[in-house]
Amino acid sequence: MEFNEDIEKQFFEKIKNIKDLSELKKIEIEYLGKKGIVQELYKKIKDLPEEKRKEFGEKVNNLRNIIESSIESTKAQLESSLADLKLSSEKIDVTLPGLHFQRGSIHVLTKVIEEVKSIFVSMGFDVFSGPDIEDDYYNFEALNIPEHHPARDMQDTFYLAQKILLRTQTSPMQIRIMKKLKPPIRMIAIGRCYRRDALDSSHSPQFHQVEGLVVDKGISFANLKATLSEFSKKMFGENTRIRFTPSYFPFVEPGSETSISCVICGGKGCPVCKYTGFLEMGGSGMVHPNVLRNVGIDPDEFQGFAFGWGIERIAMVKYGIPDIRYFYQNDLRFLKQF
Amino acid sequence: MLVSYRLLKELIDFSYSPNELATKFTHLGLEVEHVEHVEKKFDKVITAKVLDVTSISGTKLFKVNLLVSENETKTVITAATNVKKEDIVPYAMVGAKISDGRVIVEKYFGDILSQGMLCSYNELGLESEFLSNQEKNGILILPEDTPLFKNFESVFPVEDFYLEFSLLPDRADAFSVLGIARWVEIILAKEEGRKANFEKLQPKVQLEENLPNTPFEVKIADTDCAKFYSGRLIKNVKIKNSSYNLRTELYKLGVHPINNIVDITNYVLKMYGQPLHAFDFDKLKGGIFVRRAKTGETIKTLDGVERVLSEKNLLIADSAGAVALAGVMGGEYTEVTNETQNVFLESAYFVPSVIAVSSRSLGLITDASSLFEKGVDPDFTPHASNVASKMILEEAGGILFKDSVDDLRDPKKGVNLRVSKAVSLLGDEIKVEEIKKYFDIEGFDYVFDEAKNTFTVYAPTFRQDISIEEDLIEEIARIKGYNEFKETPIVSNLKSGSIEKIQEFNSFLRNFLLAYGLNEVITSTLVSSAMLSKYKLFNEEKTVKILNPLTEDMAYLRPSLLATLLEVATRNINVNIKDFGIFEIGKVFYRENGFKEKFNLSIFLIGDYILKNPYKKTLPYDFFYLKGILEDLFDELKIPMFFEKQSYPYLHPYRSAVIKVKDELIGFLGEMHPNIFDKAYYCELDIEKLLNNSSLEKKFTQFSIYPSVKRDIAILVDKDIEEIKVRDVIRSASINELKNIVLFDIYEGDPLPKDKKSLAYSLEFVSNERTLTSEEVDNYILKIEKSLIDKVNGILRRQ
Repeated sequence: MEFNEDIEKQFFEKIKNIKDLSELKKIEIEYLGKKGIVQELYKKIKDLPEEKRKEFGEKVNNLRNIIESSIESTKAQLESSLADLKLSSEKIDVTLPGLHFQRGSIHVLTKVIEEVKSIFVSMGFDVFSGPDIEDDYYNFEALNIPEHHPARDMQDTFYLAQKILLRTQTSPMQIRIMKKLKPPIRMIAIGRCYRRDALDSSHSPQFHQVEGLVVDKGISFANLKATLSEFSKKMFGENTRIRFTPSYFPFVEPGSETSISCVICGGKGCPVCKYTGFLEMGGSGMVHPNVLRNVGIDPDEFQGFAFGWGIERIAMVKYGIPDIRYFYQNDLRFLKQF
Repeated sequence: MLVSYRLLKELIDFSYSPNELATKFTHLGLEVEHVEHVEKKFDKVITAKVLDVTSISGTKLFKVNLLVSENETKTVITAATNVKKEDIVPYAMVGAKISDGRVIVEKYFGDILSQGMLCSYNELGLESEFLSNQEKNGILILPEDTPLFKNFESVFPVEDFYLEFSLLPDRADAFSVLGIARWVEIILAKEEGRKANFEKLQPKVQLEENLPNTPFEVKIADTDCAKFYSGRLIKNVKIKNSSYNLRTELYKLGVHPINNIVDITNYVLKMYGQPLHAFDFDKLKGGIFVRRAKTGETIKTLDGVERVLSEKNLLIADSAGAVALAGVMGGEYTEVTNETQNVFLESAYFVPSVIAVSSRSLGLITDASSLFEKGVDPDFTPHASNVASKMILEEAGGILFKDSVDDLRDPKKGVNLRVSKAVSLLGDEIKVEEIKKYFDIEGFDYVFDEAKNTFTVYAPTFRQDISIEEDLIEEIARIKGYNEFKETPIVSNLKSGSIEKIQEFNSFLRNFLLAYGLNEVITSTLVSSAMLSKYKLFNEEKTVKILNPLTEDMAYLRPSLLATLLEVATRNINVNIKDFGIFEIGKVFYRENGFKEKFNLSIFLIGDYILKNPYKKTLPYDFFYLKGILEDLFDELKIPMFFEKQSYPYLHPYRSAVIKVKDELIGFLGEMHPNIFDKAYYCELDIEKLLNNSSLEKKFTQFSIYPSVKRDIAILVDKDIEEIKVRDVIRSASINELKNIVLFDIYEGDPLPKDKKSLAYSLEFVSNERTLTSEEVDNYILKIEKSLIDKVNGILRRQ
């Protein structure tokens, strides 16, 4: 066989129309096989005159390289298009819905409690809970509310036995903690409380409270204001303002009702805040000297502040929940919203 | 408490609108809940006089001729039976509008033309609480001295604003119109920068001087119970309806008119905050003694109830016995009636705590007791008798006597205030001059000791809330304004906050269960006995009962979380939510040497946890799903536990188990009894026991760097044998390299013998020293096989 340019031309002609790997294999054998065209050309070298052998040899080498690389690249091309063909057959509709397992939820009251805890822990408060079943002593007596005191009317109480009751407030934890720990005290207590109130959209015979108590040298009303102001900003947003109005709780003096600027209208007045611009959150004040004396703390040495806010109230304000009954009904359509 | 804005304006001159006033009160700590605007609901109604009334034969109607002006009469047909000659009545003329919107037109009854209508309180849209019971039946009959031919609204204070106060028990001074007016004076004094002048608000009464003495001794026998008692005789009074003037005043105070004497005592109570009591003098014998009741002594009170008393009760007694429950309610026998001729008028100051105990021990709280128990103004008490006496003379006539008095009142005591304490407690700089200004505004007298930097303050006697230094500090804050004080963060040694263990543990449990797709619920701890009995959870001895429940629905404290959790499940199923898992972490209560409470955890599962979808089979919750959660939980807490078959009344008797740690019962689980719920699963655990047995401590454990070898085996065993026994036998072969035993198939039926089952396990072996060879693993299997043969008669099935 004569070496000529046509071999290369023919090869490219053939490989151009290759459709699959087996055809390519045939061509590979035809050109590069042991008895293939390229081998045949090498065999011719020995028949050539000495001076032409080198040039011819180089030409064949060249041709072999071209063919080899061309087959290689064609092969890669074929393989990749085959792979793509296979993958395309596995096409899915990516707009189909995902597969869902049941997803859980944490009760909104727990969420609020956890948030309250984390804000106060960040301010160095210790967190307690305390018993639901209380002694009259802790719930009333030690809190400067003796038996038959008119202030007891403010909290209609469930009794289990003589002097044993369901706590009407978390304030008994003030006494329990002050009896246990020495000042400086900085604590909150969170838990369920009970009052003989009929169930309606804003009252429930059971509800949760967060109680706060700080006792140390020189603790002041200004400290109380700063603490509740900071808490309210963290809980309800940086623009929240806090308002104190004089009020009466026998275990604090001065005593105060505390409100926050309405989260809906920002204080301008709207139906939610009954056009007052403020939402009542709970009581607060400076620990009454009688209370300090009752637990053996000298009111001339130590001063303290205390507050008690409703958890349900905080949740209702924060999340716009209109009815307290939702919390205890546990409709999953409610639970899953938070 | 409702206070008439109109009345306040009559008492003191100010220019605030009702809403402005309400806001100012609220900022001072006298909360106004809302302001009610009462508008007249009628038009063209005048006062007219009845000339005659004749019944129309053959009907139940009456023909009434009325004088409607000096020289004009009108005829009206009415069905009302309470109208008689000379009565003064509201007359709605033709064209008048009445409260239900009707317009009055001329109308013929037979051949008589009715030219208008006589009105009842309803037709005028008046608040019925302002009228006596008599007046509610039929036409409103006005007092006989009511001005005639006037527009009704000009003679009766119909149009007004009412401020609804929500006052706290320490505001004893404000439970009267006078009390509220004093706070208006404080508001004005603050605005005008002057000292409050309460003197001008006091009713001014000067009685004749040389009155005859009341022929009766009065004596406070128990001197710790009362500090002042005055009693006076008023002879020859005429008991009748109150005059037009008094009636209009009562209307503004919201007092039902009864008769002139009772109306006057009620007026003084509502207007000035001093409860009075009027006795029928002729029924009293020998003198008046204020003393504690003897145990077992009885009295029949005004409300007709025979009451058995104890030493907790304070009495007004005469020489024959109890005549009134002091400060709470009068006695029926000595009550003023229409026949009474001579009245004995009492004005007293009782010690607040004594009245609180007395009224509460009887469960009898009255207008009088709720004022006395907070503390009335002892300085006004003697004066109140004068005020009432003068009114009685005007309304009922009679001869006035000088009062008999026992006066044990303490001299006014000053309260000290250290300026330094005020500054320290309020946490803000406050100057002496400023404090003086605030005390002036509240009308306090004071002495300032410059050397000691201390005030001695004498608050008016009606301010019974001022007894200690802190009370005065509150007043400084009140007048300055609570919101005028600065906010100062606590300065203290830096310290981190901590959370008590049980709360941390509960948080851990919540987050753990959240990962299993469960929803936390919070349910009522108050339940009914019926609800508990339904699930056989009620136990008379152990269940905690509330002595004074609000309703039977909430008469017990739950001993278990089951009932309320099932209630939540039912509620959701009823709204067609049928696939869910819920859990609760909450307290349960029981009696065992007293009342006990502890935290439990409960889980309830029903329906599918993989819902209907196009990709996979739906998967329902089942016993083993629940058990899997618990096994994972115990594993996480490193608590070795085991399950034992055990039946519970509310669970499927063959699909329930108790969970034990060592020998301690820690909880239970099971399928719900099909009678209660179909295909639902429940468990309840004792959290305290869980916490005490658990360890949440984490520490790194070295794992093998060599690959493990897995080998599947199938074992033929007796059908009745518990699977755990087979697993225990595999474990008992004590092969250190056996790291994992996973049961992956249970098979019964062909071709196995009837009494056999096949259990297939995947066993995983790994060594810390090297890669295990196939031969080594074969040897392990042989060892296991031997154990199985020996201990459970098990046969390894080889293909």
